[in-house]
Amino acid sequence: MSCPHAQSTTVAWLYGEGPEAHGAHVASCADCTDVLVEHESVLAAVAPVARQLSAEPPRAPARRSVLGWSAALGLLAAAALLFVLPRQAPTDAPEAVAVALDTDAVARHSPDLLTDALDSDLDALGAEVVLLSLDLSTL
Amino acid sequence: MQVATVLEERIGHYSAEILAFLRRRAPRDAEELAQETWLRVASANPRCADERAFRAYAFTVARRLLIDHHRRASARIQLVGLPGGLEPAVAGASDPHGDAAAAQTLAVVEAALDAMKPELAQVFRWRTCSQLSFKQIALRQGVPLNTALGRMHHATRRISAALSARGLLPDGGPR
Repeated sequence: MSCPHAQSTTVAWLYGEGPEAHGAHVASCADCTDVLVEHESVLAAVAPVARQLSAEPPRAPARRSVLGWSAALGLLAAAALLFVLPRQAPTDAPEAVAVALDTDAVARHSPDLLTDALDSDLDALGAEVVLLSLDLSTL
Repeated sequence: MQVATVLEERIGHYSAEILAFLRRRAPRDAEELAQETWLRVASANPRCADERAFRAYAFTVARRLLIDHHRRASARIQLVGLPGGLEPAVAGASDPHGDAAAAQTLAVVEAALDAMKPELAQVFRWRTCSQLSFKQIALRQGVPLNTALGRMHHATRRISAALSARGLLPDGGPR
């Protein structure tokens, strides 16, 4: 597409915002006419459902998380364990128990957790939940 | 002259369709708008490669006149820039096939919008749903006007590809 107007002034003209005189250019330009045909086709298809489209996306655009399904299921299963298993009163009293992260154990249990690129918001949570599922004595 | 004959034939071929399109959206002024449409088309004398391109061009001219018409009437019209307009559904009428196709179209469009870069989808949604001008959209996105226009074009291309892949894309121009 070589016409410099095809993706700018022609689009504006198409939607009633470009200069009237630009119509003469569109009429004689193959690139701009192609743009016109494509946009008109989409408008014709979308018009019947345009009212049902939302002005904002259904969810806020977020960074794409590539957390694998297996990792997600692992997280859910581990979280469920927190509610199913009875809590034991720790013989030692500290509120928080520092547990060394056995990365090998985590990898064996849910390899995807460490090999996938995790969303930073899920990193700590994912590892912690898996740890809790592996070492029930911390409960 | 052969060129004028081709143009006259094309105008004759689409005049009823253009008039019907305008009557659905501006019943009182449809004939005047149709006349103006063909005057402008004849003046531009488009050298469109095929019927589809000519039809799309004629409908664009008609739609632009419709937009100006409604602006002059100071009416707050949603979707006036789109061929479908705002006609309410006819009471009691149902079109199961049309409803199914519309639902499928909506799903494909939403999926395409979700799959593309957010800034592209945002331009398309705003222009389609809220009728913001491209200047207003550019201002909101903090980009030059041409960037907003380019984003609209690219978003439309992707939606066009998605709809075409599903056989949901009509010929160029409204019904």
